[in-house]
Amino acid sequence: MIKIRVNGKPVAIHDEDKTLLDVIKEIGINIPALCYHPGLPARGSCRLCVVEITKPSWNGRSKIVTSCLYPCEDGLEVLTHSPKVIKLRKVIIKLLLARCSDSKELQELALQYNADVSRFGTKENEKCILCGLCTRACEEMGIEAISMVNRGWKKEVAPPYYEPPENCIGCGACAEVCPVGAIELTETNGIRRIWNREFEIQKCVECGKYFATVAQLEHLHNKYGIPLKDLKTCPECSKKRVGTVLKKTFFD
Amino acid sequence: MIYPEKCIGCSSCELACSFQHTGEFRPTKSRISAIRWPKMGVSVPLTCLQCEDPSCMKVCMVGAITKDKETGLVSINQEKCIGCRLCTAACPFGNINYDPEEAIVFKCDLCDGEPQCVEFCPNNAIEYREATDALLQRKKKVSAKFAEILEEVR
Ligand code: FES
Repeated sequence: MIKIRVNGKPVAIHDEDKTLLDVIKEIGINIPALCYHPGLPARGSCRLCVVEITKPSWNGRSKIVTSCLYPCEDGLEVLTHSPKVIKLRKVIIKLLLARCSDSKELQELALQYNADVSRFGTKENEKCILCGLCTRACEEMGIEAISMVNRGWKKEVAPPYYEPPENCIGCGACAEVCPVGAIELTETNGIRRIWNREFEIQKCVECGKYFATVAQLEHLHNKYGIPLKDLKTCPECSKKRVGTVLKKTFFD
Repeated sequence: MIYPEKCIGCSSCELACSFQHTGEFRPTKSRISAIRWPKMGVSVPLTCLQCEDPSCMKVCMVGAITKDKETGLVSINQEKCIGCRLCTAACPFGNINYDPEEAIVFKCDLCDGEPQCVEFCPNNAIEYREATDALLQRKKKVSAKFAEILEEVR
């Protein structure tokens, strides 16, 4: 068992794989963590989850670390809202806001941390904070249709060669996990558009309802060998099909 | 365990389920549905079978769907879910649905051991019980016949 203190309060941790952020969230302390998603590996890119840590043996010295990556070590004293942390978090919010001035999420944070006036110039029309949640989601899906491209101020998320990504299945997980709603996904008349590519949406062969992209179904077929014809009914109609078989089982 | 011969298609299970999970009486948000053949006066209640080797779990790449070793319950961790929705298409029985209003996928969670559908079924067409030998026997018999008919209709 690991024992740490968070803002002076002792906390006992049984699962050694937990990060400081896991523990902080668990005990109900709210700190911003835009690039963190419980289902994806942490990467520490937004830097908002910074906390101050120290140990009695450090002779009064402390460190600033990203809590989403830092493991729980016995004897750690963690400060989530110390003056140093607040000051730093404020700068990070200002920087992010300078990049994405229209982001509601960032504006809310700015309000919360009193970081409204940005002394940095603003960038036009930028929504992405480069946190990499989308690329991680795509990677975990085993698809890797998008990635970070370029370096420095030219860095951005894009499919290879900025072309409509061939291996993308249009599942929309990237848009779903994006903390600032920067990825556009639209659906009209049986076509889903994302990453500049159009995906045909499968019409349920029974009821005609659109329910998943054809590419998603092909992915399921290719990867798991599920027969394509079994994938062409929407959940409701699949259920009806099972119902029909059961009806025969019991009543015929 | 379901007893379709006892199901009267009254929707009580659907209403109880949707109310339990969303606070609304809306069968579209129910985790259980009664499939009806009104002309024949027949209906069958259907919900997640808590499969031995769940397809939904297999296709979930972030480990958001897990099966409890002790209870057998297959559950979704909403926090971990990244919203790819492959599970909804992968379930051969259509027992995982997508709720566009909440942007979540959902399935039967057995109401933490007190299924409300069972509670409110007026005719005991759905039961939630410890598996006895007799029950397992019945289950085996039904599944054998089910598999047979499924082969025929495919
Ligand atoms: S949540 Fe830790 S750096 Fe973004």
